[in-house]
Amino acid sequence: MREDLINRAKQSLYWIGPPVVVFALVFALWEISVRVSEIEPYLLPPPSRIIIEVVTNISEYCLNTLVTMGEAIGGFILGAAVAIIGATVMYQSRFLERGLLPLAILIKVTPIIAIAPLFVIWFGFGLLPKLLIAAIITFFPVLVNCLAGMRATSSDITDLLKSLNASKFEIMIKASFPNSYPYLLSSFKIAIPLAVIGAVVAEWFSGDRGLGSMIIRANNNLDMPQLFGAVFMLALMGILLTTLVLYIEKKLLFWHDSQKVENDIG
Amino acid sequence: MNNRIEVYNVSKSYVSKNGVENKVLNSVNFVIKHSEFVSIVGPSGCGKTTLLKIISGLLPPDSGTVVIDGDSPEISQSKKHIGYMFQDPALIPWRTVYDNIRLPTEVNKAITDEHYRTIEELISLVGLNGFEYHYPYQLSGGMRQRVSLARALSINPKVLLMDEPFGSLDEITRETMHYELLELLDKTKPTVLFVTHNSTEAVLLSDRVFVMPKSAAGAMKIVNVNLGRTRSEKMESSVLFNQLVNQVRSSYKCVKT
Ligand SMILES: Nc1ncnc2c1ncn2[C@@H]1O[C@H](COP(=O)(O)OP(=O)(O)O)[C@@H](O)[C@H]1O
Ligand SMILES: [Mg+2]
Repeated sequence: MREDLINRAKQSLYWIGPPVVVFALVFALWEISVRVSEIEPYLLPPPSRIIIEVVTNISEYCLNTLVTMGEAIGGFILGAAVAIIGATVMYQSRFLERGLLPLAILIKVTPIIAIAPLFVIWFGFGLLPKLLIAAIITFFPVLVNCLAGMRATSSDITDLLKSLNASKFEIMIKASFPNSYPYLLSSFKIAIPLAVIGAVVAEWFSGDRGLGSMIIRANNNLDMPQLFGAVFMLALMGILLTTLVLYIEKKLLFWHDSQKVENDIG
Repeated sequence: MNNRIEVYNVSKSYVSKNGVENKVLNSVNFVIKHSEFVSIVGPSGCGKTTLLKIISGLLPPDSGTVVIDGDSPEISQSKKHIGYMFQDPALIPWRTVYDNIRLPTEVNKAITDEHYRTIEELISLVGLNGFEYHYPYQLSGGMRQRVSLARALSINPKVLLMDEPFGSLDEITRETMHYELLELLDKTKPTVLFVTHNSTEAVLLSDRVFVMPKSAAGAMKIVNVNLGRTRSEKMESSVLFNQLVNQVRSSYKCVKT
């Protein structure tokens, strides 16, 4: 029991220790250089100033963080769902893959900064344009990885299933789709920060809630502590969401090579 | 009830991207009798895997026919009469031992499974008691191949196709697996086509050994293994056994050229 606790503490330290040290060093360096060089706080505030700003207005920051996080997660789920459906359709035939891929690439290369104002005109100032932008930015990496993961299924396993006259659907459910989980989770790690960026950019063009709107307002008022405060909250959100994906990955992919090192340590 | 594998005039060529034709099988003919154990020996690249894929219906031949228990390979597939085992265990890594063995019974459910062995029985037959809920990454190579064997047997196949199943195992594990396999098959007696490039293994397991030529132009040689159905380790040192192994080796050499 005691040993178990000690082990757990060791493991937590293993994960949390290094980033804490790195962040502490960066912040210390930042604080010292701003103070020594006497840069004006409206150009670059020291970390202590940002922390005071966030703490004194904590409820406002939390509310806006929740708004942006909601848009990002909602858009991510929407984009990932459409991408997974798209990948399973494209998996059915090379013809469909060839036919649909250019469309996916078109969505990929369209700069969101260009379509964000357009979406505001089309869909108004509400939640919808933000969801859609976060979804669009999520779509491509998830689609491509999901498809690659399904195509990477061992041909021995698909041959075995075919020799039993398993249907295409059965082969997909039993083998190909689960085979794409490691690929999917890798793509989630890429797509989630992108979805957050998408939500922030969408907020620049509409509405007055969320961290993106906060950044625009701070920028207009030359309120650097607030701008950095919002960025700070975005960073926290990014870390939180990525940690969540890493946790899911660890639980879901215990069988996969990528988790071996961690299994050995844990 | 006649689990024969009949192969008539089967030919197969692969055509490469630049149009060059690679003739792999040239009018192959043989009949494997009910419950017979036949090994195919031959150098790598001579078309053994291709032949098994054609028999199982995974690959269409260019010409010729295959008949399994009176049916075409496609019908045999749909009746779940074919058990298949590969050199690689090809287990599903996110499934436990139990669920891997069960996999063939989960698909193509139109076929009733009343005559199937229970998964528990299979697990104890291959000596994996206590490992039911282990995952493949927690098993040794030999244990994985035992799971693969149990999986192939889970549907009680009429014919069992084995493509170098012990090829990647170490010598000691391989030797114990030989006798385990024979004991397992003794219960249900499927017809077996076993691919290997180990002459001793072929003689030890088989009623007949087919030696495949290196190129499709050559002819297949057949060695009859008159050792009776019960095989033992003592028999492995007998004169007759070694004569047979040498016979396979020499026909191997003469078809090679
Ligand atoms: N899908 C394929 N496309 C083209 N050539 C192939 C293909 N599969 C096998 N071959 C060729 O056919 C020959 C026989 O292959 P294979 O049946 O795998 O031999 P074996 O199992 O006896 O080693 C080899 O020369 C191989 O290169
Ligand atoms: Mg082969």
